[in-house]
Amino acid sequence: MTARRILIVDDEPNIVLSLEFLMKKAGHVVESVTDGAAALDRLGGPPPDLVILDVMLPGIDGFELLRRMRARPEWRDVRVILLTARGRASEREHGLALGADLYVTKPFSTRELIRRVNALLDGERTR
Amino acid sequence: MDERLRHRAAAVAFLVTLAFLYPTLAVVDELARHLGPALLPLHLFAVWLLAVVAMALLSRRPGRGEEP
Amino acid sequence: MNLTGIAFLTALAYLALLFLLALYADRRAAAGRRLVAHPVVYTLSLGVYCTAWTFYGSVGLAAERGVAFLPIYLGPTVVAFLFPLLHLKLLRVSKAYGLTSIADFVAARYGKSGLLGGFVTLVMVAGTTPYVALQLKAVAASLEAMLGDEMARALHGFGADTALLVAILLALFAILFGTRRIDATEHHEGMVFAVAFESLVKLAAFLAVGLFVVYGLVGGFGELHRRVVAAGLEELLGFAATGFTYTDWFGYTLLAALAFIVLPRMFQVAVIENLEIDHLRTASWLFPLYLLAINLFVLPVALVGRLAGRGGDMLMLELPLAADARFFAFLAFIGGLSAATAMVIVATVAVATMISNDLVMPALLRIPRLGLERRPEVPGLVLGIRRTAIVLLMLAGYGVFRLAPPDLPLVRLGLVSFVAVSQVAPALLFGLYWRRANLAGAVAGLGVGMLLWTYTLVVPMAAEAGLLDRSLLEGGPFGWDLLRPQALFGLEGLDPVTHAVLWSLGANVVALLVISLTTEADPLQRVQALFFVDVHYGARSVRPWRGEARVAALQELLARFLGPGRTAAFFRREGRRRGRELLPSDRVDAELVQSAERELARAVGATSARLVVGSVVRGEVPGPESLLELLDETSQAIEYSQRLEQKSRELERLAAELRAANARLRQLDALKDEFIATVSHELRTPLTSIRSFVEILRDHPDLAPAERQRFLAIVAEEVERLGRLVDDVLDLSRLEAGRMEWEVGLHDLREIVETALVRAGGLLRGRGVEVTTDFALARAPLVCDRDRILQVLFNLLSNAAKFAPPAGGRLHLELRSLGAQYLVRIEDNGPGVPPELRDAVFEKFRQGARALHDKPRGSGLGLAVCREILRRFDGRIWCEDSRLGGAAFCFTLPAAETLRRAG
Repeated sequence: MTARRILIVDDEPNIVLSLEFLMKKAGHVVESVTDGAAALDRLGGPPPDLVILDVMLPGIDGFELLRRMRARPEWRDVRVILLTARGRASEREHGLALGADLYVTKPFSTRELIRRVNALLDGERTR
Repeated sequence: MDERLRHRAAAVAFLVTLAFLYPTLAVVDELARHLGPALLPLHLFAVWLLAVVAMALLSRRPGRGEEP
Repeated sequence: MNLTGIAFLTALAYLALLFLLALYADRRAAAGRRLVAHPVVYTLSLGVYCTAWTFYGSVGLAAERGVAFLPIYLGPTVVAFLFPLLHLKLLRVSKAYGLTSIADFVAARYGKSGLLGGFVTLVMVAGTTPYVALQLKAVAASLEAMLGDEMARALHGFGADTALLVAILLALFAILFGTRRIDATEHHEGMVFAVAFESLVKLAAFLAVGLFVVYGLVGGFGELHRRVVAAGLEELLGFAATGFTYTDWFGYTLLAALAFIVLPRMFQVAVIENLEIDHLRTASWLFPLYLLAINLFVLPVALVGRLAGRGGDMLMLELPLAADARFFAFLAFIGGLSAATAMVIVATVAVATMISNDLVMPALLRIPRLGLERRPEVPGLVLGIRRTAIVLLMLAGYGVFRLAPPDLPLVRLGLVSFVAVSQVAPALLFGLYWRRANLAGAVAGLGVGMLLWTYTLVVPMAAEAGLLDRSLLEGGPFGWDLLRPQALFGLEGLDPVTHAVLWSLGANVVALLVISLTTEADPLQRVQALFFVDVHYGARSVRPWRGEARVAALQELLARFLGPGRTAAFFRREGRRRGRELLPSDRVDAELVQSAERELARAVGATSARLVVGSVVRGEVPGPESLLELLDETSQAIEYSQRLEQKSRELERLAAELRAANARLRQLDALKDEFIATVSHELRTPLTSIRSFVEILRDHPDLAPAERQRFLAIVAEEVERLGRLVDDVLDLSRLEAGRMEWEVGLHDLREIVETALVRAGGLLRGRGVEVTTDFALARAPLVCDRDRILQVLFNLLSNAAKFAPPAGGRLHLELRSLGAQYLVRIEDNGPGVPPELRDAVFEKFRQGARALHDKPRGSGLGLAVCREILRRFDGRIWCEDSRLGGAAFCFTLPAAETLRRAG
């Protein structure tokens, strides 16, 4: 398995820390931003293979970020996992409709998350 | 037919009733001794006509431009 | 051709003209161009009040007793001025409930009572028949007057035979134009138009003959006045000539006013036949004008008659005839005929409708063996009953006219029937304005009224006619003086009619009041009472109710009574109203039952309709309990809305308040949702870190010790954060519910502030925040819960620490007195709070507060908890600009009172 680039967008430093650790252990190259403005800037750069995106970000919410991401041709095929601490069904629908590949409610199982990340990177479409 | 018309109608009816009955009638009949015997029927018909005119004016539908 | 023949033929030609006019109006109405939809036509149709009595009797009375004829018209005049109140309500009720007659109206008001409807019908029959007789007699007498004395003797009975012919023709007219369709609330345009035409004819005739008599025979009013005075007849103009006391005058006026409201023919034209409620506006002044005009020449004609040494009821005819003015004699004859025929037609149609809807049909429907509601020929049956009733009424009138003892004056009979009819007025009027009036009261009132009517009017009449012992009148029954029929309990000196009016109506009203106040009405009655009394306040509301009966059954039932066409139209209408077609297999609901009942009531009256519909949904209509519930709910709502309507400004204020309260509630609801979602979010965030690191620790036993230590520290930190959140949520809910336990004592605020600073010291140092203090007070005694105030201070200090910039963070803490208060001020040089959010930060989990700071690492509840704690000790907290460039959180607390006084 070749190394893949993963972008983590979350404003909770501890969660970012745990995700970074998990993804590195899984053999991926990890990059992270902790606020919306930085995430927007990052859209100008080269797209990663997968983004783990928190929905409730200060400054800009994850949905909006996702929409802008999908508006860029080079980011269109990036796999996106939405993370949220608010588990409303309508939000899940909304997220999937905007083009997320997976919608994960916090707190999550780390093993399951790794499995899903790898599966997505290997081409599986869960939706 | 709004509330104002209802109040006006009640007022007209009340005043007419007063004018048609005792004691107004007794006063008129007494005056008739001095002013001429036809006063009582004249009074009754005059009140009647006045009330009709009053009611006709009061029950007009408010026209355009007038306050409702 | 002689005069007789001309008069006879004229009468026939006139009736033929009426037929044609009625036919024309009906055709026009069928084509959708209603001739009668005009306020003037409506007003003229009310002229049916003026009968042959007006034409002949009034003049005869005036010739003897001056203005004594007037109260009979003054009463209705007053009532007409009240059209916009009284008749407005009558019209609204009867249009809303499809009522078909005065009996139907009264019965419907008192719980659709068959008993009361029948009773009222009988009273109306008793009150109408003599009146019909009076009209027929007038026609006969006027014909004989046209003949002259000799001819009349030669052709004895000619007038009476003509009257019979007229009666038959009128019955035919009434049947043709009054009972065409089963729906009695459908308007009889032909009949009404003919009646309005007749009103015009009799007015024109009266005015023409009056003008002829006064100007043609005497030379004007001035000349008439001179001659009257010269002949010593001026007494006739005064009140003394009437033979009335003022009480009699009042009694007759009241009697006429009440009769005008409840007379079947008046109720028919004024209420049932009304096409537009707004016509009342015109009628309220035009009808009094009509009455005035038709009475204008009564006294002058009577006076001219007296000057010529004449009197009696036929002056209108005799004066022109004596002057050989045949044209005017004919006019008068036609006018009188108009007056008589109009009354007879409308009265018989109205009473016949009552007889069919409130007497015969309810009786037939109560006979289970007939199974009437299952038979197809019902519409024909109803019409048949009405037609038979018309013929019988006409024959009864003719019979009374022919058989009445010759010494019994018919005018007297007319007044007697007036008194009988007016007995219905208390039940109607109290029923319309007084919710407590109930069936028992109405029946008792009507019963007592009719008993006294019988005793004070019918018994004396019978005694005078020799049917009873005359001594009854002079000495009372069994010689008991107090019970003399015409001076009951010593009430003497009154006209017999006034005497009867005062006793019968007085007792009627008292019985109605007393019985209504002492007995309870059943739920149906109370519901009806509510609907009638509060008709202004919207239609009846219907509780959802679904029975077992199917639409098909109701359809079949309605078809029998209304015919398939109207039934189909009804269900189409109902379907449209519901937005979907009603299928035969659908269950009927309460609303449909009520609509069907109303539709049926138009045909067979409210009482019968209830019986008929009850046969299909028997045992399934909402029971008394649910009706009672409906009643209570409705009455509460109605009382509420009545109060509101009384003061529209209060209404607006209340409405605004309600809207605001509603908005607040909705906002609270949204806040509660938001709160729960936010708490869930706030709980999940630390839980996520905890779970992740715990799983990492589990899955990676080979971690470096330093890393393991670091992860464990994170877990500990997040657990602590979770604990704080739970504490804050609990604190806040206790504070908001007022269940917080306080340990209140006398403390020193300076000591508390210093302790808080020490506790937060680690946190502040850890973030590199430079702290300065300014304590203007050596001691700051106050009454409070020390731990809670400490919690507030710690919260504010740690907030300041959290928002301090990563490098060069500063914090300034200040304590001083502010009047009778202490002021604590905590300033930082963090990002600050924009002015528009300075109130919002104290709300729990406010989005504004969240968006403001980069997601505060707290519960989001801290400031809300602070505010609640301070509020408990009469303190206040707010946020303002900081001199350091960031936010300044300030709070005040009152100083301890005793010490403040000492200091």
